[in-house]
Amino acid sequence: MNVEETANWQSWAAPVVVVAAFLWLLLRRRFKRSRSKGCNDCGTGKSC
Amino acid sequence: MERATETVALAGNPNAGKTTLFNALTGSTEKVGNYGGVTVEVKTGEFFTPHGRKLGLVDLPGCYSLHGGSPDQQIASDVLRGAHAKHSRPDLVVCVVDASNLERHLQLVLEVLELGIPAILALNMVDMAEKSGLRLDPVKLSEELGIPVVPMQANKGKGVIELKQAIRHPLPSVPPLRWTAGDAESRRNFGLQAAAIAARRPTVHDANVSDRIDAVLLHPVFGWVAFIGIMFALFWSIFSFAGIPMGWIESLQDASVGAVESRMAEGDLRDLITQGIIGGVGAVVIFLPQILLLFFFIGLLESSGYMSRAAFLMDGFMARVGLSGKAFLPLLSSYACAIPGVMATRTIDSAKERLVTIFVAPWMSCSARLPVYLLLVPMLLGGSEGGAKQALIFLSIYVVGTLTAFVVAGILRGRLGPDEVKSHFLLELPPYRWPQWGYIFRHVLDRGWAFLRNAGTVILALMILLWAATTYPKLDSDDPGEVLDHTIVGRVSHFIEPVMRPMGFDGRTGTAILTSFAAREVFVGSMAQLFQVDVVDDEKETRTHIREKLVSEKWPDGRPMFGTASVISLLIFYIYALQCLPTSAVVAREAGSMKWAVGQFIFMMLFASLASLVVYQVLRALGVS
Repeated sequence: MNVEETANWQSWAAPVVVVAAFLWLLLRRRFKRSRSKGCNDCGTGKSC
Repeated sequence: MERATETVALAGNPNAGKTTLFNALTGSTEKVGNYGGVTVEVKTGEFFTPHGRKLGLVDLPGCYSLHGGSPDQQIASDVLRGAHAKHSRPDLVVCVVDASNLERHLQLVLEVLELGIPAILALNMVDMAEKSGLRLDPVKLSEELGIPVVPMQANKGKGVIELKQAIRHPLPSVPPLRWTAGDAESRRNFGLQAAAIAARRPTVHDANVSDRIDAVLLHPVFGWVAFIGIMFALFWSIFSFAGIPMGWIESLQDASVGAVESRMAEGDLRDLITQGIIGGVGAVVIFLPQILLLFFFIGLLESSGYMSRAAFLMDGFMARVGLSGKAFLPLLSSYACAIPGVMATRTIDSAKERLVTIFVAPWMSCSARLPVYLLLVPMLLGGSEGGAKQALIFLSIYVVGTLTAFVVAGILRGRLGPDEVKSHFLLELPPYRWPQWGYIFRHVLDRGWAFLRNAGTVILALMILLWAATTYPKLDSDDPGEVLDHTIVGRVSHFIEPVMRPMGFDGRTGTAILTSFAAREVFVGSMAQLFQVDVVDDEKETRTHIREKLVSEKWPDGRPMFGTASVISLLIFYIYALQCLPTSAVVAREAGSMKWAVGQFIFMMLFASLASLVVYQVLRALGVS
């Protein structure tokens, strides 16, 4: 694919990335809970 | 896999080297420091004996006695008595003692023996004891106590194999007591007698190196000069040394933007990648060198033994606001991150003093605020970075937060009333030691990685959303101002502007503040996006570019938007605002009440807004631009 062709799909690809980021922010706690480690200075596993 | 069936507990006075031994036995990298109270909760691990038997290991918080009142000492006592909800009574206790302070450390060992649990004594830091002129006799000590004694140097890994060999089946039997169980006087006398036999002191006491250094660093006048000098040097170094690696990060950022532009035509996704992702996340990642340096210097102070001296110096000062020197270490830790700071308040005996310390801890400027300060401070001095003046302003920012914390602590402590049981401030001044470089570097790398991971996940996602909010809904117009006004952010900015304006901020700055409630450092990236700082063709430093853009912004009446008054007002807001949800979660847990965390959040937000408003209005009234 040449550089010019990328313009065709950029207008829909950008919103897809935005929605993915939103969903990830919304759902990440569900995935995170069981495997969170972090620095764990505090023992809570939360990032600080 | 074989399950660990038996548990070994590490018990001992604070700063005896329990966690160092825990790390040496299990291969972990738990935090250690050359001061008491680094461990405030039970840490668990596993290790193998030379015969391949797997054992569970618990590292207990340090305590001077099993009858101590502070929460961390209570935890240690409960585990050893088998009264802890999560941890069962250990099968064997390794009592870790500092060989230089046998008289005091043996008291806890005798209390443990009274509980009837098999025990082994790890005589730690024998090198330091022998250097100070003590003549140790571990065999005599073993005969006196009736338990195995293993001389060791846990930080160098010496004696670890011998200790593992001593933890073999059958476990050592519980010796018959040679003092009256439960009688403190009898126990004390026996401990002193055993210590006198096992560690003979030279008749003449020579001042050792630590004593000579302390003569200066704890001097009523020179001590303070040294304290201020050390703190100033710390901030100056953070500014000065970080410049070179920051340049590398900037070059990488420019190269990434160039690479994307050469492969993609103009369009939404290209804007999202260059402005949202590389521009936004890059504006945060650029502060990595400073954050690494801050943790390195704090690690250096902890590991060398200076932290305790700082607490000692501050005790008199703290007493004026109703706190003790014990509150100083948690507050100092909060400069790195309020979460370990709040956790460290477990070493405080008085419940009221502990609550007050938890309440004011977030006012010690943490590392997440550093990017915001680094962006704003040079704007007060004409834009360039580095130099003694900026270090001085930086120091002032930290002093403002700290002094306010002390004043509020004083007021709050007064309102809570005196303690039912009076507690005393006991602080161990450990000998100065060469820093444990391995631990410091590992800790710095851990923190750096945590910062990068945060930037690559939460901040990345937020930057993508923020880019969307500054892009959609789209408007077909050539005027960039009109296009921004049409977007979500433009509308939110207009909505909040009337509230923000009296504090000296426009709606966009207000929006950047709102986004930084997820993580304070997001503010810098948000400002870059909201003020449309173009990083595409920028070969200069990114922050300089953001600053140039901000300096050129004007109010509708032509006044500069980011004059001295506005920048100071913004700095004041960030010093005081509590914009960290994980901190509130830990406060709720440690204070045992959600109300306390919510109250703290609301109070700090109102305080920050009010302080910001007053400072801006007063400065404007005084004619400051």
